[in-house]
Amino acid sequence: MASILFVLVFFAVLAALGFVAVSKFDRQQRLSGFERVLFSFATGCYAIYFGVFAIGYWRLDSTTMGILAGVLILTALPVLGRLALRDFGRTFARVYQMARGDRLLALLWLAVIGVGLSAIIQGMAPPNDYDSLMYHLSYPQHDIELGRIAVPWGRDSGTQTGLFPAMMSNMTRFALALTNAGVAQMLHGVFGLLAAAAAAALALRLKMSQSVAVLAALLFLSIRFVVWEMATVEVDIAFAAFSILAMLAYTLWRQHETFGLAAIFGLMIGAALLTKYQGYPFAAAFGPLILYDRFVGRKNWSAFLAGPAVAFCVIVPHLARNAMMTGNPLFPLLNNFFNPEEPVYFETSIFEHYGPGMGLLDLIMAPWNFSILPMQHFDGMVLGAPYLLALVPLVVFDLPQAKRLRPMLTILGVFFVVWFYLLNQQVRFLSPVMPLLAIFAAAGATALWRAVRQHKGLKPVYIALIGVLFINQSMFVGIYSAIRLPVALGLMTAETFHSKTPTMTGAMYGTCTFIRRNLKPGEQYFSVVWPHSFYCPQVSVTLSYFDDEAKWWRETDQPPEMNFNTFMQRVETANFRYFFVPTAFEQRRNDTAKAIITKVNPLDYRFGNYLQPVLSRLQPVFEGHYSAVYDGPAVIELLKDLPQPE
Amino acid sequence: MSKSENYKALFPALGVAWCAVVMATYYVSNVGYYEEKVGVFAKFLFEALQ
Repeated sequence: MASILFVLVFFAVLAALGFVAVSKFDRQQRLSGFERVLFSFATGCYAIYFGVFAIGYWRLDSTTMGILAGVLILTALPVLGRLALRDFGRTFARVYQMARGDRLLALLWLAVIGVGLSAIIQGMAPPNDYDSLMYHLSYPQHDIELGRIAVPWGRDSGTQTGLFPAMMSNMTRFALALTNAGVAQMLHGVFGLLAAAAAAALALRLKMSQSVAVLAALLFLSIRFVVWEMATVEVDIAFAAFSILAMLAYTLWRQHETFGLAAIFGLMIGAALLTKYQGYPFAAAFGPLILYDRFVGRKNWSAFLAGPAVAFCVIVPHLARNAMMTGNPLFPLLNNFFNPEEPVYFETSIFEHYGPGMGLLDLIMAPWNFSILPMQHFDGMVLGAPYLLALVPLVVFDLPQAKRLRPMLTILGVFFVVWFYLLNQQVRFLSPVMPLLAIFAAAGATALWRAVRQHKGLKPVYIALIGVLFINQSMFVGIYSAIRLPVALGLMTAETFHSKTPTMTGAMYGTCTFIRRNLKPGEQYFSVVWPHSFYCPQVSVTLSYFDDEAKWWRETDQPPEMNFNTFMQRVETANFRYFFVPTAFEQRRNDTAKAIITKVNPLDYRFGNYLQPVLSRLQPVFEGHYSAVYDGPAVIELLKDLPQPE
Repeated sequence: MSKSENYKALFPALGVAWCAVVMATYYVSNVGYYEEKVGVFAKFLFEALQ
């Protein structure tokens, strides 16, 4: 209950803070009350981002974050009442009135509320997703344990994410300092609702009916990776929210051409850039439309100048920090340009693994392939049932609607081409255009319904097809509720949850919790388990590389070597309490997503050739499915007895 | 029926046919995935009921 209250207060305070700025930018009252609430909350997020950014490098704990929260609440209080009465009240009253007289609309609202609230509550489940355990959650947890923001350079050799845009990781830091990981996940879930609401707002702004708008929100929330990520601290959903809000702001600017709306557009683009590096190609995707509007449509200069200027201003601190720390404002991207003498990062991850090919036909066929053959050609069943592919093209049955969507279609098209050729082709990286696709799909489904509803033969076939899609996607949505709600509501222990719930190569919950419970203050442990799980102690670990080696990957792409004697000296000096090693890993990237477990060869991890003869003679003090913990003093004692390797 | 009316009547049939083709191809292509997931879910339900 306290977690839900925290999330509600968080939303209200940020919306109130953002309301001050949004009201100033919208003096002419062009925004509807609903739109103003959405832009206010999104703008208010900057307060947490810059607050944590300004304080966290000096001190990050419950005291400083509590003071930050107190200041934000006190600042928001005078605005809160005004905002609640003016915008929330009117919006809810109007929605309720409309839903009362329309059964379909009421059902759609119930579905949206059900899916949305379920996803938010699922956030209270223990973190279980690979990327969050690896860095979205574990890096902020590292900072909390350290007491200030710092890049764990040694660990970053594997992820290179320590200097990524931090809009959402600062939210996570704020939540972890004051509450727990569950609340951090719930805060991220709020951005799913924000994206769904913004999709509905854009649909309404494009003169679609309220049913189409709510259907668009539902179709977005029901995308498999959306409903899954909403209960995690991964950032794709927040990225989608800021992106669709940028589209909404730009659509509003096209209608009214005011400087203030251009500035709000810039704020939303800036937030997208501060959420994920894919924000840069997304921002660039607006380029052709902005140029067209200025030089062909003869619209005024405000969006052309004010939008990019505002976006640039808000990202300057991030760029400056990265430039000061690494010489590369976009670190780790484009490192060959900014630091030509240093290694290039993410080069190999691009073009690898995904997509059947890079030809023009592959580009055209990509939506078909990632919807119909996701296991064979892309990164798995990320979307669920192919309702977007089935419904989006149907929008051509309503030509006036399709024409209104044309400007947004250019953004979708440019971003899609960039995603296909220049980004890692994970389907979830299309998140910024997913709310827009949901609008297209809602408009398409409605257009075909209008066309077939008088047709005796086609009507039942269409209803049956939609019914199958609905049932299939409900299974994807429902399964996450079935998995995460029992533990979120306290009906299942975290141990049982982790033992039953698969995640890529496990959350290491058992082994990490064993270390966390038994490691005494001042003690260190040595780990070669990668990725380093959120559940393990974050600061007291030596993760494959000792402190003086931690930045090796900044200078070379060849990991450093260490001879046995040096390793022994280091190990004895550190007097590690535990040695933590991987024992198996799991792969699911196959046609059926069936887990294939493979034993780890000790020679594959650093120092495995030194440790393997010792570990083979010892019993682990704790063993999980994929990792084992060995007693440090026993390992060190046996290492001393080893004949020195050649 | 005029030519334009014929075209107009053809559009809904095309739309429904498109949906049917998308779905049929999807299920045929992913039958292995669904078999695996149904098996996992059945086991999950069975354990939960026990």
